[in-house]
Amino acid sequence: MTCDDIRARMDDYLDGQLPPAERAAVAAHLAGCATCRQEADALDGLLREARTLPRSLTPPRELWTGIEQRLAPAPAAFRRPRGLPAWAGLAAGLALMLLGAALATLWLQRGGGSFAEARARYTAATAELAQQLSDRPGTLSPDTRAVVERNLRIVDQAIGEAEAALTADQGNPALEQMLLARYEQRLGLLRRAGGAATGARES
Amino acid sequence: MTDPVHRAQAGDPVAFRALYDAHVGRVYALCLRLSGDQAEAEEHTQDAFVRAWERLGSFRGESAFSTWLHRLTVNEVLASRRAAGRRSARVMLHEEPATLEHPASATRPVTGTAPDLAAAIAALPPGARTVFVLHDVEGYQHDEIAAMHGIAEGTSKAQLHRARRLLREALQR
Repeated sequence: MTCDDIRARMDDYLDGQLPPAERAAVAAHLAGCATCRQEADALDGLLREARTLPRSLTPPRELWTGIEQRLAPAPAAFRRPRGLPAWAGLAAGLALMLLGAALATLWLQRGGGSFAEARARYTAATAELAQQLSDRPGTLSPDTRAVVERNLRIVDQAIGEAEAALTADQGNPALEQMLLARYEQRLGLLRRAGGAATGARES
Repeated sequence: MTDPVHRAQAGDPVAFRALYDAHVGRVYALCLRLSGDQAEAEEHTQDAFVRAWERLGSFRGESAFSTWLHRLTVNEVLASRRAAGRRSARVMLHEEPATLEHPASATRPVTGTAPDLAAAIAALPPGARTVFVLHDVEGYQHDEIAAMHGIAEGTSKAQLHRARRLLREALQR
């Protein structure tokens, strides 16, 4: 195994998630490679420290009064009344689920096609802004450019996760809304970066 | 019936207060690490106990009450974050680019020394922070985190890798 192979397996190795043969191979490499061993020790130290963080912390202010004011008279009111069979609760849950699905369908029917159109609009707008920014690379300071790029990576990751979730659960209106929100955020970020570039050029 | 859990399930607020006293430190610590913000953690702690009161009837004693409350708290924080995300249509970004162009108006914290681990965790991006706290501090497995967080198991692993790398950078290790 090369050092790159070891680094790719370091998390699983320290988490005890590698199969025995791979684990032995990593251990053998670490025994003979000071650089990788140093990496492993540093990460192991971090994980040990994380496990020693205090499990309990005293809140800096009194929280009970705010909780007490929100407590309903008795939680028993939310429970299945005595004598009612267990399937009654399941049936009620199923009815709620069906109602939710029906409402989601209605929502989709009402807004049919709007998601795809909105997605196309955001994609076109962000591509145009990104192009404008890359056409004038000298107008942003290196620090600002680094922040913009770091933030774009965060948003892009969120977009990737939302798209993956939507692929697995196509047509889910909540996921569609979430994805559009992420596109909107990406657009806003590029606009602000464009504004910063303009400001820098004018000053 | 002397067990405070059973008495609270029967609607006894005094017993529920005893449960609060016994568990608030643990719940607050979890909320603080997941949110990275004191005010949010206080709010999440209150929300978690209110939700626990409402759902006490669903606690069957199959696990320890502390385990049940812990899981409920995680779900509450993550659900709240999803709702807040939908409301504000934003994910948390590192810094606003415009503030860097105008440092006089920026509100960045002044740090002369490397932050300790707790501060470094709080400064992580939310997704990475959540997975690090749940996996490396609280001991959840990736499949559990994926289920609670509504993400793929691979995403959980990638976020953990990212969190560990960022923490090592922040702590200069």
